[in-house]
Amino acid sequence: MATKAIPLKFEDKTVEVGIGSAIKREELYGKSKKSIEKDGIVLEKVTLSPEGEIFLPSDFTHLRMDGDGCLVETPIPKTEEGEVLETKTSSYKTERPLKAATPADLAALKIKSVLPAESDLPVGFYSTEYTFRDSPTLSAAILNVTPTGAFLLVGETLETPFQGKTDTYDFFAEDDNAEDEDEEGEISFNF
Amino acid sequence: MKNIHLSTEDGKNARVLLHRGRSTAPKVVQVTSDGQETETKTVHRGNKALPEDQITSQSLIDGDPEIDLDHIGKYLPDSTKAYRIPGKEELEGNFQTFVTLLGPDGSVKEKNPYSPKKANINETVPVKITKRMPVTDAFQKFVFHNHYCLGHEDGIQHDFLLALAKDLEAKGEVALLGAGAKGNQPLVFKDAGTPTRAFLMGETQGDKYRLRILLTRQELKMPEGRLTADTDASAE
Repeated sequence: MATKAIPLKFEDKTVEVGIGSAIKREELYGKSKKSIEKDGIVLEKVTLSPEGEIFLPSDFTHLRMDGDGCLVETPIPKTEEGEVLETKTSSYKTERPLKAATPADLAALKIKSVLPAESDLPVGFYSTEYTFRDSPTLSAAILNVTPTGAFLLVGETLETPFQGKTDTYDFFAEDDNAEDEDEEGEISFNF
Repeated sequence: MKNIHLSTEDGKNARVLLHRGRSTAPKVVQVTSDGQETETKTVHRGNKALPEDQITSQSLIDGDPEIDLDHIGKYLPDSTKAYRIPGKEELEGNFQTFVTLLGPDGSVKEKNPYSPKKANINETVPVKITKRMPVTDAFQKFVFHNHYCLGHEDGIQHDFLLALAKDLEAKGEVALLGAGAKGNQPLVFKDAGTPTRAFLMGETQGDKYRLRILLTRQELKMPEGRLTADTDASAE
């Protein structure tokens, strides 16, 4: 397997872990493809405007613009609080810390990429941060060394707190919040 | 929030809450040098004169096509999806959707009419725990691309979930969940959703619990094609 090494600092020692190209699910199982057909002919998707004009997807492109509609070629990344995010160097060029992780750490990781790895570390889980190229943000990553091979699992961590009997649900993802019912609304029962 | 109807091996069952965790990654906004927020807009290219696959710098020099002045720079309007036979102007109706399954080598395995799956996590028949495996084994064998967590609305649901979490944690196990009458179907979380295998993992802190449903559609292993390539390379 062709790999490129990333340097990691584990227990005061530098270890090199070879990283291969991402394993896609379709390499393992194939994939499914949807098609829209009529009488055996595959139809193409178009966009119909309210005025009845027909456009193809290739007629459009995506551009980053400011509020005045001017093109922005080099935007500056900031957090929502306004803090400028400095560019973090690629994991292939800079050493990052590696520490032992638990199954709970791995359970919290929403895995987006699976990268095969070559490592001499003992079987177990190890957490670090990873970015393929220079980027304003780093992704959470866990090096999963198994008896049959090693994999770098890259993604984002989801926070899920412990729940007691009387805890209220204000700490979960906003898109899971049910719409509030109108508690002030009129309740009328006709008996 | 969704609900899931869950049953344990001893036949106890409850409808409990299902929700997602909150991401810890910082939300990034892209701004201009004077602090104005930017956004991505879908804009017309203005190149209707040439088909997409014929646009090259040389074809533009040779053909000198005119740009589409009526549309260039316009934003994508509120629009509707429609379908037509390639090359024809008329839109088509009464069409069918098909799903073609392709193997890892790209060959066609089968083709069937599209049949969206119904959600099956909150039915009369509960989602069952079918078998268990050690936590470490599960993480060494599967890729968990997402997870939900369980929650309660009352004391009885809390006690049910706390007992389940304590049992899983004490034994160091995760439980494979299955839907359907036999408990062997993958879980479908919403109508027309993708069927997914799921494992339940439990942790406790005193009388607090954390139960995660870990979702997986992929084993943690190297594809055959890469293993074969490595074997061929080392044989050479």
